[in-house]
Amino acid sequence: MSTRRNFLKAALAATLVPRLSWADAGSPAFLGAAKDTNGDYALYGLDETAQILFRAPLPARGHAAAAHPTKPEAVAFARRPGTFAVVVNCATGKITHRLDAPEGRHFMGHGLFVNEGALLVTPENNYAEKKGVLGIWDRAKGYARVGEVATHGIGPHDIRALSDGTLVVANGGIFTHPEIGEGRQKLNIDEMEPSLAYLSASFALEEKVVLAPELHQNSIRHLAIGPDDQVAFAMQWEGDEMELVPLIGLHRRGEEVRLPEAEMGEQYAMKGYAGSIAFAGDGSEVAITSPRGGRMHRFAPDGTFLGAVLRGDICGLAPMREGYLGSDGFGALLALKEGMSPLNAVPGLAWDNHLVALPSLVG
Amino acid sequence: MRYFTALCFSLALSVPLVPAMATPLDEALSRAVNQHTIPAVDRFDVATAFLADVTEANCLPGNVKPAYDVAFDAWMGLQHLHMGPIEKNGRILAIAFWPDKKGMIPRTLSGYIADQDPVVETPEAFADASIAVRGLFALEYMLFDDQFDGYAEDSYSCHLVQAITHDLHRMAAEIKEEWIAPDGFAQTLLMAGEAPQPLYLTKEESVQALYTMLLSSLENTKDQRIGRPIGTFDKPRPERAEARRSGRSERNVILQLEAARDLARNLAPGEMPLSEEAFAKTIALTEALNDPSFAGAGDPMGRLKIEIIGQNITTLMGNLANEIGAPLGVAAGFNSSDGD
Repeated sequence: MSTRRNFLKAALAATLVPRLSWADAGSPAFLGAAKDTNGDYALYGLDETAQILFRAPLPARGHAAAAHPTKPEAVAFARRPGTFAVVVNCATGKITHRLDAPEGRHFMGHGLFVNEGALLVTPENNYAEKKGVLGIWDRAKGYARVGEVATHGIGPHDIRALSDGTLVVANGGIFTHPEIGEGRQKLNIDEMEPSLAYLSASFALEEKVVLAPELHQNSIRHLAIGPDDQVAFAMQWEGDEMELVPLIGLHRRGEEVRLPEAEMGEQYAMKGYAGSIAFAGDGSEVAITSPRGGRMHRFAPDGTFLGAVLRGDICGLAPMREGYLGSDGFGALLALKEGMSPLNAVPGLAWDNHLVALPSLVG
Repeated sequence: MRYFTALCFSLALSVPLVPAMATPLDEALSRAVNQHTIPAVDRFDVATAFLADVTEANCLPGNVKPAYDVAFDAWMGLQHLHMGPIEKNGRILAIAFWPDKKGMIPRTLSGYIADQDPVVETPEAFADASIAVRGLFALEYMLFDDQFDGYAEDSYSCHLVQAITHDLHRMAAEIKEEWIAPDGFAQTLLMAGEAPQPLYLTKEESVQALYTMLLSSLENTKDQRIGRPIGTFDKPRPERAEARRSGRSERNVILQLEAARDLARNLAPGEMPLSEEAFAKTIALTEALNDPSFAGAGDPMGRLKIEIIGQNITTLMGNLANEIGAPLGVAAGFNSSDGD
């Protein structure tokens, strides 16, 4: 009897599990990591109105997540210099796999599913050789590590894909070592060379964009892809804090980089720091957030500054409808465009640096 | 019509300006906004009006300097509130462009004066002039620096000085209006989510914002007003002291500490004996320097004395966290203090 029941269970599992889709996780539109009042960390799924659909506990502070394009699976990364990531089944809230960075590597907090979700790629720091790599993990093999390739720069951070499968990597340019200063101390500020690296679907370097020499301390960290594969990148300035430098870059393959700025007073108020970047849901504009400056700056795709929205500690940003969804460290989730309107406020929930829009729902 | 007016009035009154059941946090918010922020924006408006009037009558440095000090004193009572109307339209930098690490102010002033730039002719044009020729620090060069202060009545420089003081008062008046208006920033803080122009969703957030201003202003004094002139032991940089030309470096530290103390007293839900002690000690140490422009940073003993003030500010910030932040349940932002 019990054998028969186990057999049925196994049969059900075999047939049902592969069919799970994001609908089984409540069809979340966004994922975000947060710390609660008990000091516990979790990954949350949010619907289109920013209401919480599920909560999946995480073993440590997260940074960003990678969502599978079709299966209700998200990979949550420990913040740098974390050496593990966990695969969360968002339908059950359970951790199904744990990814450990190989010896001499650590994760940077971001990752991306490629090849229709067959592979996961993870920007990593190879600190022995002082270079950036992408770890490649095979989902069908239970997230086994199957290889790694160069990112052609130090300190790779965010990674995105263009519509043709070309990968874009933000090489932040900053070298850290896990055994020095808790792994977050910046060790090469004077020699930084951040870059934007375009890799083919087979990981060959196709184009590398570097900034002018006077901006070599402007760390390219986060990415967003707009209509027609326009790449927008957010930067964090490691140089003299009184220098006014651009914090957003706009680029298309084969063209010059554009580095727009707000007017001087607004630019100064960003405090040399952009934490997240996203295109508006309708692709009509792009924005960066500065939690330190307590504001979001909006730009047109041609670089025209469109205005600032003020909100303390704002950081997470994702495309939503014709505007954005933003999150802050005070528990608020806000609809943003010219102004802001709160959608959800959970006191005591500190949203972490990033919100992730589910790829299936982004145009 | 009279009936209509009366109805409007009673409706306006029915909107609670102070909460019905005031918690310690509500009370702290009400005190900080009404007794700290509103007097501060008002004083800056009055002081800059005085400065503009004095300068209008006689633009020469000897005449303007006392009013300059009055206006700068008032700014030191307000500059820590990096919020709402004060940080709108880049006003903070337009009022106080410091530190000017690249020497933009003297270079830009020289250019304007050499070109007799017509931007001084109308307030509207001057409001769009480079921030390097506007505000208290451009004015300091004009009034106190040998390169600029020898101008005559009715000269281009005289008109420039008048334009700067007028522009300062224009910004101060705008800040005051935007702060105290019925739908202004004071209400944004007091009414939080219910405000006509909401920015903070809850009163906790409003208090959090004010508390952040308190701590970040002290940190800024330590890192900039103290940190810049002391430089490193091997390379002190007294020439980097804030407002050293007008001999206000020490005074600005004292006034900033006093402004922070006033905000702290209004925010504190109870007594704050350790913070009071630390404020008193830090202010006394600063007064005892007797070194208006921090020139003493150039020698090891003088430098040490200034450095010790910075260390006392660190202690003070810890006390404030225990006596204000903890009992009110507020702390610095999660993302702003620790990014990636």
